[in-house]
Formats: sequence, structure tokens, C-alpha cells
Amino acid sequence: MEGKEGWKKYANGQMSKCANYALRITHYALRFTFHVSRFTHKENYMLAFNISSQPAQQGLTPFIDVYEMEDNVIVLADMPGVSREEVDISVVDNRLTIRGRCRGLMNQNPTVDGLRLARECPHCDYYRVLKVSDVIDTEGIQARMQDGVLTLTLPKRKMVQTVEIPISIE
Amino acid sequence: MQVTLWDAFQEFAEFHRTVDRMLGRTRQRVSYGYPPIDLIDTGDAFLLSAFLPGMQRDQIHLSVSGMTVTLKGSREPVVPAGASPILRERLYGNFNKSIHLPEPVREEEVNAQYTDGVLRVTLPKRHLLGPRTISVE
Repeated sequence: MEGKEGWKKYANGQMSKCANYALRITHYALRFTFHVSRFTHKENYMLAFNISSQPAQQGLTPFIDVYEMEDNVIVLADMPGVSREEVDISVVDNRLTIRGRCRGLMNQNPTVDGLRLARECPHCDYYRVLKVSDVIDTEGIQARMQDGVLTLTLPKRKMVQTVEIPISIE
Repeated sequence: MQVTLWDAFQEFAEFHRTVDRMLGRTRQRVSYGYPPIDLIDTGDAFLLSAFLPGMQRDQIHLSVSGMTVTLKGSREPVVPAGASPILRERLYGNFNKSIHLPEPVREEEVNAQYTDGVLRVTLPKRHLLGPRTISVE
């Protein structure tokens, strides 16, 4: 009997030790990720870039690259077959909508009479919605379209300096 | 087993080929892999469109030989100076695509244009002499 009791106590002790270690590891992991995210400024605006899963009837989703710089954010979107006049960019609240019309592929003729041997290219319009956070100054967005690549420059707002307020003790 | 540089584009092409074989699609497709192409036969010529956004003209290599058109090139990421990448979805790297045509073409009269990220190639056919009837004596 005594041996069993002793074994139970030992097992309990071991389990509580494991629980203790697990708790400490979780605690350290959380602290680590918190500091890492602060270091990379991720919570400043990111993840507000919602990868929208729009249904296909809205259009084809173009691939994008997003780069962050000190003063602005650069978005590059692949939209081959779209000329400068057929790109439509609009910002409503915090949603940036990119639209591209893909028309007149084959030698400026929408439909060329002939036998289609291969049809791998997408033939529908491009559509993508990105959610931008408040850090982006939506008034100053610039766009450039060249060779089927749309380059968007989203400037960041100048952050206001935080003012320390001293507390006086009466 | 061959040790080669891992190429994402070729992996997808191979995967596509394998799945086609598994599903019993034994008729060869015109082409596999990146970049996506459209091929139209207008009777006098073939019109080929390839979607290749963001390429420099000297990085696209197009060659025609016999009944095969080879399109190869490479695309490097354009990273702005001092930028940290947040999201990278666009495709980069080397691509090498062979397109098999059903008829031979006149290589010296092929012309290609690259506008708005689309490479348009016109390949005039080499019309062989029509079937000649030979009377049997």
C-alpha cells in the first residue's frame, strides 16, 4: 500500500512539474512573439492587408507583392494584358479595389476567327480588394502601370509624436 | 536520380503531366507550364499570345525550330531599395516552355511584339504543296 501511495505522489509531482514547465514555456513563447512583432512593426499596419477571397464571378485575382518601406508601402500587382487606360483603382473607406479589364488580346481584335489550339490565358477581368489600415494616407496613393505590372505607392501618415504628461501630486 | 536545381515551374508542369496521365488523357497537350499561352490557328498563320508581365525585352528568348516554339527566360524580383517584403505571391525564376505546333512555319517571317505584359507572336505557316494525285497506270 505504501509503495502505491508513494508512487502516486511521485507521479503527481512529476505531472505538476510538467505543467509548470509547459506554463513557463508558453509564457516565454508569448513574450518572444510579442517582442518580435514589435521589432518588425507588424502590428503597425499589416495583416490589415486582407487576402480577399472574392468569388470568381467578380474577376480573376492578380498576384501581388507587398513591400514595406519607411515612408510608404509598395504594392506590385501582375495584370498582364491590361493597358494603362483599362486599370481602375478606387478607395472607399479602408478598402482599396483594383480592377483591370482584359480585352483585345489577340492583335487588338477581341475575337479572331480561327481554331483555338490552346487556351491557357485567363480571359476575364482582374479584381482584387485590399484592406488598408489607418496608417496609410489614402489621399496620396500613386499608381503606375507598365508592362502589365501595376505599381501602387501608398504613403504612410506621419505619426504624431507621443507627448509625456507628467503627473503632479497635490 | 539526377541532382538538379529545384525549379518551381517545372515541378508544376511535371505534376500536371502526371495527373493527365493518371486520368487517361493520353493526347498530348500543346504545352505545359508557365507562361500561359493562347494559340490560334487562322488558316494562314498561328497566333501565339503569352502572358509574361513585368519582363524586360532582352530577358525573353523566343526561338522557332521546325514545329516547335521555345519560349524561355527569367524574371527577377524587383525589390525597392530598403524595403522589407510583407507578401510575395508573384512568380519569379526561370521558365522554359516548348510549344508544339501541328504544322511547320516559316521561321524567317515570324515576328513578335511585347506590349502590356503580353508577348504576341505571329507565325506564318509554311504551306506544303497540296496533295498531288498520281494516276496509276
